[in-house]
Amino acid sequence: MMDERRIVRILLTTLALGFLGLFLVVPLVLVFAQAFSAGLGAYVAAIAQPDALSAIRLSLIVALITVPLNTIFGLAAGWSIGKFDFRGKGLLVTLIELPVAVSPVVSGLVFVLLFGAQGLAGGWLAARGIEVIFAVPGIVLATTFVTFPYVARELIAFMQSQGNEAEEAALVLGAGGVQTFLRVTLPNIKWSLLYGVIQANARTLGEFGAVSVVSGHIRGETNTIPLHVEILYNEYSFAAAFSVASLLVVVALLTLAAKRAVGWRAARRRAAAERAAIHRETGWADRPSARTSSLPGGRPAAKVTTVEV
Amino acid sequence: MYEVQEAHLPIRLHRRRRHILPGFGLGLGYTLTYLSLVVLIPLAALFLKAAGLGWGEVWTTVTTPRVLAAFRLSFTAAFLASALNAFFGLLVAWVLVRYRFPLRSLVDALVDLPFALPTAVAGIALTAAYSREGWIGRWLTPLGIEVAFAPLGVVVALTFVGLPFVVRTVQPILEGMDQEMEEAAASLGASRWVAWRRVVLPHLVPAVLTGFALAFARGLGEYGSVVFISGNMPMRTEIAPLLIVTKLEQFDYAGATAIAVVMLAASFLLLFAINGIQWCSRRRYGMA
Amino acid sequence: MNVEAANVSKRFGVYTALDDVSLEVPAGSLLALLGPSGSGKTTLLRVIAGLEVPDSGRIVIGGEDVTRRPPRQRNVGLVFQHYALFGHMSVFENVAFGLRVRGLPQREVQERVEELLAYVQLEGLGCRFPAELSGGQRQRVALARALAIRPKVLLLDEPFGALDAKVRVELRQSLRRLHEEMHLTSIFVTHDQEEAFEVADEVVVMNRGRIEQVGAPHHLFQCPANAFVADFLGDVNVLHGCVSCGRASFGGLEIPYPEYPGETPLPATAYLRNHEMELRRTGNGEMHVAVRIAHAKNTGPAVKLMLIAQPCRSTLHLELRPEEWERLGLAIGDTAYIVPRRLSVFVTEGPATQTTLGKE
Repeated sequence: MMDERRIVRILLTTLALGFLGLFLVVPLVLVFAQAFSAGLGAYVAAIAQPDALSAIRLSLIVALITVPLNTIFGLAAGWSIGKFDFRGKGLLVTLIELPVAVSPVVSGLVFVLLFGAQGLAGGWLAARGIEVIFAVPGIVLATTFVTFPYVARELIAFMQSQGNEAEEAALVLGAGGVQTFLRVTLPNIKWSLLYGVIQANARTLGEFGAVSVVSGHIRGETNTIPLHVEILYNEYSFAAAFSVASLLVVVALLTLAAKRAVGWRAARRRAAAERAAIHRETGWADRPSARTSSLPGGRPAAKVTTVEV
Repeated sequence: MYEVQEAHLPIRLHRRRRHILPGFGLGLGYTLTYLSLVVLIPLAALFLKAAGLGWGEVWTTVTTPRVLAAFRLSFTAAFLASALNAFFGLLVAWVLVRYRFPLRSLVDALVDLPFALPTAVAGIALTAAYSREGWIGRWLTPLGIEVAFAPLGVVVALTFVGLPFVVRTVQPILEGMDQEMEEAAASLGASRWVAWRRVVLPHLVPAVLTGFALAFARGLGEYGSVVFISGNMPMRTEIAPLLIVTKLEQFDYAGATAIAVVMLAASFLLLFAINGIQWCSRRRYGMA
Repeated sequence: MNVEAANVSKRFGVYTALDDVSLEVPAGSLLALLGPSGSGKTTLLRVIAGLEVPDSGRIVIGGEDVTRRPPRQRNVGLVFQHYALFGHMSVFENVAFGLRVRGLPQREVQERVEELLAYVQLEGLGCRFPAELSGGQRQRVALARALAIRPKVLLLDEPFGALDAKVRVELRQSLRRLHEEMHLTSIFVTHDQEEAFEVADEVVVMNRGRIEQVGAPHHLFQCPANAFVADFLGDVNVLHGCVSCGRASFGGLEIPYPEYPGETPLPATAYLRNHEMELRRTGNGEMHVAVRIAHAKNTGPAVKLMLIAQPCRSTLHLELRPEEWERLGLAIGDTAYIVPRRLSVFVTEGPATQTTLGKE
């Protein structure tokens, strides 16, 4: 292996870490420093405040609705796109990715235009007394839009890489469609699924722009955790704002840790699969235990990986 | 011709059956219905509304000085932030893949923070750090550098939200890259730097470009982190997404729609550009 | 149970995988589908298993038309090329899968799985996971899993393809033994003719979605039906020449070819096998081809020669025992003569002729 000189290595590492420190570590530490700046009592009080609690409750309700919805969609999309070939597949995948590229504000706006007082369906809804915009349904809709691709993209990529042989084997052995899905496919994709769900969950709890447009910022009613942070901040209750924000930081850190753990499991499975593939290629059949490769923790669906055999 | 391909490709192509595996109709039907309900119909509503306004009015709205200034800031800041991320992202990916140092896997995990951290939280934290009395701002103020409540603040916020993209697109390519290529270059007499620039870098360019485009798209639409740090001064630090919110608060739906249509068109273009880059690099290097 | 494919065609887009293929596999036989990549042999196997729906034609298993029946109702055992073991299940559960989805009681499942694991010599490995097994062991698990459901027919897709050379040879013998013990109608796909010839009772040679020839191994070898079969069965030397007026000539070598009395010369090829020709210092009249010795390499048990046929410049390969080579006393660059004992002549668009030339 060829390498740079030691001084170059140290220099580059310092530069990279300096950049990450400035942009990632400082804000992260700062949130906790500010949160506890007024003492532990003030911290607990800020979180136990009724408006804060209702924001937490609303955020959890929204997550409980949108995450399962997007998970079911992700499974359907993963199955039909990952396991079958058909015309227009590429376009469909691009359309599924679309919400990631759309500004959250625009995502919120489209629902205002559809269901708002002046919106296309606004009159119809108003006549029936159904509130969507500036109410919980609007928040759920906007959040569903924003977090739409997260489970699906993981599952599509993973199921595509898995191929259909295991399912075919199950069918030949006499299993029905549902049995095949539950007993063969689902256990196979579980880590990928979990990884997608964790990501979708983090985005759901933290979504700000889209929700801000549709929520109407009614305290105690349509405020989610990030919106509550904004209100506190704009009222110059900095310590309280950072206290509530620290909850979201903890969620984010847990998400990173969970992703890491899940990604590691998925990577191990993937490495095993690739090892098997290499056995096939080279006919190194009788080497049951090869070393596991080190994979990037970030994406278990990494397209290129090295495997040492 | 799958059997023929099988023999030549390192990883076997999987056969796809349309009829044998069940549930294709159900799965695709559900996918298309849900996609239409949640994404396509709402987005169509935006175009419908814009068409109802007439393209003339859309043009008039987006060419007012305040909107133009907002677009200019959004595009410039997103570009600068993505360029910064392209450079540092490449550096971070290189250091993470090729060097070993303490806490490396922790640093690796931390790179994803901007994906997981709510933008509003990032916004208030960055503002606090870069304001005049802040942990970083206090060192910059004496140098005459204003970050918070200045256009530079927008760049800082967008750099934060776009940080993981380049790292995460480059990293897998770098991990999959055979170091023999570099060794071959060295054996042919290339210096380390020349080998890097002529052999390594060309392989990473598609990934860097993809990451750049992803970060740019994200930065263009970013709202949460920017509104806190920028100060939102019309003509100076007001970004396009904020202007949409402002117009909505004034019940100027037409104005908001006009700006949103332009933003959405930009998103579409970027998405196509990203797909184009990936398609080209797959053809060329067999990977995305 | 016998298996019959009648006029089966299958296309994938513009690519024809099976082109009007008809085949009868008698009950209890062991048949090999042999052909190069893309010849349609795997597709035929998958059509029989029910994993591909043919565009036209019928599949009959044990007298029943199963063409429209889904794979789960066909009761065939299929061993996938890469085994397709369920990675999240133990070896025991893999073998038990087909029994469990049939709702068999636990006691029966337990008995049957243990019996099969013993049969494939994997007793005690039931708790292992596929990733912890060697390639050969995985293959045996796949086999046990396929046999667990007491299939009417056993299908194996490249059963030895993914294994290394040594394990391969062992498994060939065990497949043969398995077949002799179970008398289960078995069809396996391979691209290796040695494998097909050693294991199968009957070999089906496939090419471009068609069946080129069906026959017992020795029959295929001695009487290839066409140039493709002769070529594919390997180790042949090719001479290019032409036929006219009832004679075929391959530069110096003239043999009767009564099938074509016409006067217009037609291009023809002659196939000579290594063991069906002799190298001599001197010729014997018209029954020889003059060659120049281009290369000779003593590899220990044999001397490998590369010869250039003088008139048509075709390259011939020949192996001799070292004693023979010494006795001839030839050196590189010398001219010598090839005397064929037997050769096959193929004329483009004409019938094949096997000519056994009398010794001298």
